[in-house]
Amino acid sequence: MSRPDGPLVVCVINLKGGVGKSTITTLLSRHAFTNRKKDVLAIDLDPQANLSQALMHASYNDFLIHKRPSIVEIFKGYLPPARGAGPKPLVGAVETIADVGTHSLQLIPSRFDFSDNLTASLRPDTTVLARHLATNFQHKDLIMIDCAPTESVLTHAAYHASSMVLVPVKPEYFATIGFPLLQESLANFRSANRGNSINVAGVVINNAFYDGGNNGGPEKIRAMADIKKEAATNGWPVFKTELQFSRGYPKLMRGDNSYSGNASLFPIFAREFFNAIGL
Amino acid sequence: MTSKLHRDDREFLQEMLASLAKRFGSDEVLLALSEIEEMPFDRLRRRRNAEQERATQRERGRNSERPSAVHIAERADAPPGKKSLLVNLALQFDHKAFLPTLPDIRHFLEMRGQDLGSVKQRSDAFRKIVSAVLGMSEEALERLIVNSRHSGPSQLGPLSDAIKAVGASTRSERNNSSLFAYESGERRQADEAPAPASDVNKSAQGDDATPKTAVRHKQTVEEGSVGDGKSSQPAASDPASDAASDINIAPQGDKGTVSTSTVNDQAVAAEFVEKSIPQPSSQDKRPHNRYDALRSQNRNPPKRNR
Repeated sequence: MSRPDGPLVVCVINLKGGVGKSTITTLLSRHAFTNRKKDVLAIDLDPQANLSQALMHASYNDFLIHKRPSIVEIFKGYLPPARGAGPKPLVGAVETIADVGTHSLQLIPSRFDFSDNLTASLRPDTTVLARHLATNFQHKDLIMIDCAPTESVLTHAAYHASSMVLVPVKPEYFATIGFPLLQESLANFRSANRGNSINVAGVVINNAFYDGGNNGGPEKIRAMADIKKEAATNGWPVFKTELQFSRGYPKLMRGDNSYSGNASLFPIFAREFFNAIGL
Repeated sequence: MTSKLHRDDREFLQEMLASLAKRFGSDEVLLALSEIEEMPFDRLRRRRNAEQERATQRERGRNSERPSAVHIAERADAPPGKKSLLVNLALQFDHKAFLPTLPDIRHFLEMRGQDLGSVKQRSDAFRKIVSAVLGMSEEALERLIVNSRHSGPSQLGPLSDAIKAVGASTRSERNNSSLFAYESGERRQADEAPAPASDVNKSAQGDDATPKTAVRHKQTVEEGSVGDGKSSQPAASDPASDAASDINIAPQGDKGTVSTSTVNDQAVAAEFVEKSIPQPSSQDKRPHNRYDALRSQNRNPPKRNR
């Protein structure tokens, strides 16, 4: 049964690349579907399409070559002409990853030409995604949006559609620089869209850069101090559970289930996160 | 022979022996035991081999009795339409095209809220899969069968090929539309006369009204890097003719030249789709390795014939 207030919509963002946004979005979406039995929609707003690949694995190639509808068509608002016929109304544009009974894990995939398409538009409408979700996905329990790591119309489209933000960060200097950028971006958005009350659900420390052997050393300690100070200044909570380094994460993203290592500890964070946001 | 030890003691002994065997090897451990008990080493080894042989035979016997996935699917309590889909899925399972490893099965079942339990062998897991998929609609089952063609870990190579093929196809669509605009526009007449080299360069540098594909094609033909194995012929030979032999169409003057690269791209994309998606009814006689051949030619372009 869907939530009475409509789906919880969380965008996973950090204006710094390589902090684990797509991995975390993938695993949270799967966890919500598998362990919490929720009806979940994942949205790939990143033209690199890593979330799409992580959820679809090898079938992503099939999606590409058959030119099935994607986030690009949602922003365009129609299905392009094909096989001699003209443009068609946009129906679907979702890939079903798994379904059990009445709940499913679905994905709006991305394509590599996504940013090209938006750049080519005269004035991309950043509210298109929010309107599409409001019209078509009110039955979902959770919508997870994987954002691109730079401020753009895509970021603003995610803000318009989301009620919460999850910020993954690595405890290293450059990753912390994404914090003030994100704070500014959110402040500007709130100022320009007073009806929207987007909040930061929390910051999750992704320890992936460091080998578990030395746990990062002094540089990690300094970076962690920076992160905690900056998060406190912005009023952002920091999740207690850190994501441990694991060679299992890239394997799971590839679809290789042979070894998960410390990645099998991810549900501990997932529990904390979903309890915090009230799923 | 059964052990008279208590289970805890037996497990303790096994742990101790396992760590000894790991460090020194089984043979050294047996040798040491034989020396302790003054038992001939050969006798101990024969006894161990006999134990191993018996275990292997037991395992073989168990395997020979194990029903195949197809057998299980045929016996499943399901309506005929669904049963035929189940058998299809079972066939792929038996050929390891669907859920090729035990961890894949575990993940598949977990995604559907089920547990693999104590199943240790892949071939024993199909009953669990059947119970997980029996509740699915026929449509969902069909989708599962289609997706099972792409089972297993993804790799960069096929993704890279798919991106290139889609890129080629998209470029050809753009070029087709620009060709249409071009032919119906006023610049058509200007193009019918051979453009001087300086104009070609100028066009390549950003005149959007001029089809860049045509320019690119002219250049590549001159360099002898586009073709179907005939690139050793003089590069200055008729480009339209070369292109026609490549794509099997008659040269049509300037139009043939302009669209060559376009049709080439389409052929590459179409062929990739054919190769990627099994199409048993296809009677296409084109060589299946042409895409690879093209890529290889691009890596090792033939020398320019002066």
